[in-house]
Amino acid sequence: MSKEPKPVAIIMIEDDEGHARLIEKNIRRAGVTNEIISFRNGTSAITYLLGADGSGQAAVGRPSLVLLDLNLPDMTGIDILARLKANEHTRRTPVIVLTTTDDVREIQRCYDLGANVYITKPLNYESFANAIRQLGLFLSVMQIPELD
Amino acid sequence: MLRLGGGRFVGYNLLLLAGGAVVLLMIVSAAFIFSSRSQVHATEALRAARVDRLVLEFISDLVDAETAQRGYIITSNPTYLEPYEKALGQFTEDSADLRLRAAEVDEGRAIAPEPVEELIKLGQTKMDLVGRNLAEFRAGHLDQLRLVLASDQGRVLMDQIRQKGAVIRDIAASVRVARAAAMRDAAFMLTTMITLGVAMIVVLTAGATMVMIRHIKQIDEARQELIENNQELESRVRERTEAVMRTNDELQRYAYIVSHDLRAPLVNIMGFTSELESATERLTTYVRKVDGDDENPDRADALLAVDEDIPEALGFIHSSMKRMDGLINEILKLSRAGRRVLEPVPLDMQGLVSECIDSIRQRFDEAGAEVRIEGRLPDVVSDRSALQQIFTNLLDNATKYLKDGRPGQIAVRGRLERGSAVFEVEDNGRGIAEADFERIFELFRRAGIQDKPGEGIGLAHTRMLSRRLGGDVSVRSDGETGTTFIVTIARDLVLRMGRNET
Repeated sequence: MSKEPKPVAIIMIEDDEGHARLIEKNIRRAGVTNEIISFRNGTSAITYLLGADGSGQAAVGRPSLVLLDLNLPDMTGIDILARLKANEHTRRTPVIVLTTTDDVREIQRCYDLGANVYITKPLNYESFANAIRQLGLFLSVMQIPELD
Repeated sequence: MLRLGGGRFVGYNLLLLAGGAVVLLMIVSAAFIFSSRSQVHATEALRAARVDRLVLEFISDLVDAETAQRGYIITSNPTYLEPYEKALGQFTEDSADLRLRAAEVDEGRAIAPEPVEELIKLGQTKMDLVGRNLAEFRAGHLDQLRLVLASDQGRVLMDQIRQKGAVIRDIAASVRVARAAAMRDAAFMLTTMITLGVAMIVVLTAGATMVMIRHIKQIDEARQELIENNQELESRVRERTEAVMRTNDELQRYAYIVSHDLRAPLVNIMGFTSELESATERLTTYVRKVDGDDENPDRADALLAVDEDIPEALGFIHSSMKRMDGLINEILKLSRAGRRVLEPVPLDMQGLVSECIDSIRQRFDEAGAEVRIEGRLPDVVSDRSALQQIFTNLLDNATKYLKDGRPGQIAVRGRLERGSAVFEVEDNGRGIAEADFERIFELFRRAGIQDKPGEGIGLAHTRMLSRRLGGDVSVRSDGETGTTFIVTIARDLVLRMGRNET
């Protein structure tokens, strides 16, 4: 009785244009064709995700997956993560934290707040590209629960 | 500071003590002198009194003899002769006594022997007269007797005797009075001196007490000052430690942010370099594939670019990035170690350093170095892992930079200094030039001949850790015969952090 899932939009919150481009390139190389919506800062991303009123109503009927960088110019990714997971409409939205930090405490903090995956951007490009491609494969088989 | 030296205090007190002793001596000798003088006066007064009494007895003997004689003559009762005989004997005795005792008064100076002799002679005459009268009576020569009695010779004699006696008694009395006065004077002098002495002792005691109180007050003030100085010093040490810790913390945060933010562009450089590489590969393939005029200089140029210039540039970019990546990783590692929460626990330093030595024992053996702990290392309350790092780093350094041809001798020492523990790691290695004393603690900096592997991290790390433990690390070396690293840490990190943590 499962109906055809709506295509999932990938919301990429990444202030570094280069990183965003590399991530996008490698996701595409993995064969993922979903729409990718990019945001350069936290405020615009929050506005999009939770709506202008911040209620989260905007997210209803709009399955999405969030790629989140922690190091943003106007706020930390942790704030965004916390707000997403605290809102009843967005709390089931998968969040993949993608950042340069491999600080254990920070990773733990993200998982505690409800991050679904935590990926460190390795400096070695091969492994970086590999990680993103794997993530792409993961995304292609992933089911996003749709909200009514 | 102690303004009145202990010596001066002792001096004052000795002076007062000596004063007291002199006063006491004076009192005692005065008492002695005056009492012996009083004794003399008393003896002399007694002697004078005795002479007085003897004169009276002498006269009374004569009176007794005369009374007995009269009684006998009137009553013819021979029992009256008994007192006469007795008075006669007594008279002889008293005469001798009087002569002797009178000469004694004031050592014979007061009563001349002449008046005494005259008195005795008169007395004897009187006695003889009484005796003769009795003899006349017994013999029945009553007329003769009556004649004698009527002549009033006896009464005249008796008056003379009383007169002479009175003169002697007066002298004796004046001697007695003079001596009694002298005694009273001596007693008064003694009392006065004792009173004066007591007053002086009271004054001296008061003086000593005042000096003592002043001294005690000064000691107290000095102690208070010392306590204040100590507290000030302690708070200065704490302030300084806090400042160093704060700076250290700021540096750690700085290092963390820098390394983090450096990483982000690096990811781009790496990523796009790889993109560039793959693009170049495609380009190379294409350029090679394109048929063309081999004589065409543009094609030759393009080939040169894809075959040499681009790979060379990419190679340098890669190696530089690798190096930068390494450096950033080291900074990150350092910063992470710096951000680690310290766990101060009571530590047996002897055991901890021994463990560090054992953990790199192999390196000592390879280098042929001997390592020993001199004396007992003081125990501290601090972070175990940080201290392990510090000692392992320093011991490792010591083995690394030994002088060729000189058997390595490495010594670890420790001592307590105020609220800090000071540890020294000394080697007899190649030493460090004074110009490099600061440099060696900087990140990525090394000194001397670069013949050993290393990134220039160890000492920077050691400095950071020592500072986090409430101290610092410094170096001492003559640049030739060895190096000593001095690590100072808070003896009790919990105590030192105190206010910092809340």
